[in-house]
Amino acid sequence: MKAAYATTFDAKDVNNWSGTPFFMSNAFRQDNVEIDYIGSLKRKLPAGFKLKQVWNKYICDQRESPRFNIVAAQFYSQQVAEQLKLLNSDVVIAPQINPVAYLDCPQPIILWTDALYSSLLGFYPAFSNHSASSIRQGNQITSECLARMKLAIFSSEWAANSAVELYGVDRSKVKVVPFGANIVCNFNEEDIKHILKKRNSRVVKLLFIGKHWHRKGGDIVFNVTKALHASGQAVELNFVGCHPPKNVDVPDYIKCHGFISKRTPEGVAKIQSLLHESHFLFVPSRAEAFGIVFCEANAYALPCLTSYTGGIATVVKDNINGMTFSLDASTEKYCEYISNLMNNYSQYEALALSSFKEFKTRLNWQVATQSVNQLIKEIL
Amino acid sequence: MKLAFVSKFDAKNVHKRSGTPYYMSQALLNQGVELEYIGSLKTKLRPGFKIINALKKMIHAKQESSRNNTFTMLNYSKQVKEQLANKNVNAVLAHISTPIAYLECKEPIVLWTDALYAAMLGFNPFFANQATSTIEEANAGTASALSRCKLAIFSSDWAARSAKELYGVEKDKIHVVPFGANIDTQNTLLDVKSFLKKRSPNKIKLLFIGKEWNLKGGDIVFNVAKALHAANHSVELNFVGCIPPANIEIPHYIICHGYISKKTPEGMQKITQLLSESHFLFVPSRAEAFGIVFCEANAFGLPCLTSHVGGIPTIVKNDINGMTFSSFATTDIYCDYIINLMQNYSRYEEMALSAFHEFERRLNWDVATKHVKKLIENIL
Repeated sequence: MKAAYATTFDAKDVNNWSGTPFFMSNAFRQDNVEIDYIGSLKRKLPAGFKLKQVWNKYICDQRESPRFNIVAAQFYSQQVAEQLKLLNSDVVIAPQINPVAYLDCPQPIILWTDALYSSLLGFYPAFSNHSASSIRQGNQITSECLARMKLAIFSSEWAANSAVELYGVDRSKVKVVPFGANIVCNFNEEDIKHILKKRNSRVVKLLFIGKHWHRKGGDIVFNVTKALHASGQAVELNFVGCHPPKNVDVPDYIKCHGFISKRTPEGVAKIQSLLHESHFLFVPSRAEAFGIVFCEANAYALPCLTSYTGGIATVVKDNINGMTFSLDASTEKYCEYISNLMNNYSQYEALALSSFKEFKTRLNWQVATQSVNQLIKEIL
Repeated sequence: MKLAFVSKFDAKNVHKRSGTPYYMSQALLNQGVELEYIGSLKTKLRPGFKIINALKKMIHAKQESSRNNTFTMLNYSKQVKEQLANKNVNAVLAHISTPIAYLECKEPIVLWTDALYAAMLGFNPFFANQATSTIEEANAGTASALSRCKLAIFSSDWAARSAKELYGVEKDKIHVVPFGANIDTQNTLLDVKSFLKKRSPNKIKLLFIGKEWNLKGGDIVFNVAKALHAANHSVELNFVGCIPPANIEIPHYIICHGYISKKTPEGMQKITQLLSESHFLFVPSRAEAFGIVFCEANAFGLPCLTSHVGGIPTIVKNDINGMTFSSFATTDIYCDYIINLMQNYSRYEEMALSAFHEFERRLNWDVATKHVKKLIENIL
């Protein structure tokens, strides 16, 4: 099978979109799909857009989004159509709506993405200042895109339901296939058992990875860590990705690493050693479309403590590869869950092993692209 | 059991909010629940709110909601608290979240509503022009209301899931209890059978009821009616609630009634007559939180043709009390479905009877309030 893989940016660059298109397209290639990359694409915005954007920003305190602009989306699709003519692809695959929203081509188009516009609005704080015209255009582009798709595949039940319930897409073309971990990781069960042996059952080691303090629940993680310490439990929190606000007290058992870049070998090594040593990945997001970081944690047999917002519930299954909590769950509730597992350490180890099993059977790109490959074969 | 029934409106007035607070509270009284009505809340605005909002509307094309803002919600809750004093109720029941957003009281609070803010934003086009501050404050108010509630009951699966997925509400307190038909009907199975006898298999009678042409899919209904006519089927469409745009041609078999008020006996009689004589209620909404009109149609043994957006699939079950279609469904798909049933008229009659059965079993306020009463008893 020959597929055109369309993205507005360069999908071969691992730094774009947390590496998702990079790992996704590579996994297709390993599954014997011949990939022709289309992208990066040029962005064309309507005349006067910049002016409107500046006016909106400084006068109206709202954002005119270039990403959710009809003219831009049409121009992206036009570029894809032109490049597609030079290829003899059987199918077009896109991990985002923009390059294919207005694409009219003889090949079937497949969307495989993590969220749709309308469900992010009001959910992700970054979307709450979108202008009225951005909102209208965002919905229109999404609807145009969905109308053209032969398959609309989503990484979570939440996103799939939004296609059916918010955009009225026919359920028969909506599928759920979770994304995989964006890491190269070839551990077998023996390796994992070895990793588990090195984790110290006397000190609870928590790991937070997230760029946004509030949205990723950094405050909750701090509170729980402090409560565990106050109750006499030996605890260590490695806090990665962002810094706590200035008014938050950072005790010595909380180590704030700030942003660690995966681009440098030292950065990768640091993150790997944290994933090895920690007991739990603890990221109780207030809003999350999917959460690839949970897949990555599971690859290291690290169970995830998180919330069940957005697409997370598709990734993290209670007591199988972690635990999902309500957003107003009390600090005690978290502490109890953690202490209980640490005091029954064989239970913790079982949970860690079954987390790894979830990675192996569901949450890696190889399994994911194989499922999508199968779905595509059914429609060709 | 004695409940405080909290509404922003006067729940004793059947004309408020399509009658939902009225019928909900009346049905609770019928269940032997004692009610203290708390409502007719005054909307107190921040000083200068109106002037600033008018300016915002002019320059931003966005404005603040007069209800979904923190100042007003705090004041609503204050009014509720004052009215609640010395009432000696077992619990507080509200059908919308704004009056209880910041309510401090010792009694358990129960919310029974049809939609939450974040789920409506971006879904219902009327929300697109809400200011950034409204989005933030409405979400904060909603989250606050939900965390104060001991029970969060929703009329649809869609709304219930939004509580979990968008607001991270504790799963154990979320329940689904559909609303009932806002109609005083004593229809029995015999009545419905007599309606059925009067419906003629030789002429397809479609009924549309909706206030917004585009949102309720008026264009789809027109196209389908015209296509049926073009295919030589005898067809009549009664179009109620809104007037089609000026450029739409209205053939003789489409009767546009405009708005029919349920407040007058003649209006009520007209609607009742249309409900008993038509074959299908046909309202393919592009966005719908619940759709009480579908319950009302079922009360007359009228199956519903609609879309599967928002809360509708909780009401309309395919081939049981109607059919839900994709928002991208072609005119042909609708026509085929209708013609097929009309040509196998006994199948149509079966569906009409099972539509009435759904009304009796699930979609009336007596059943609904009985269920909610039990849920409240369980937490007292």
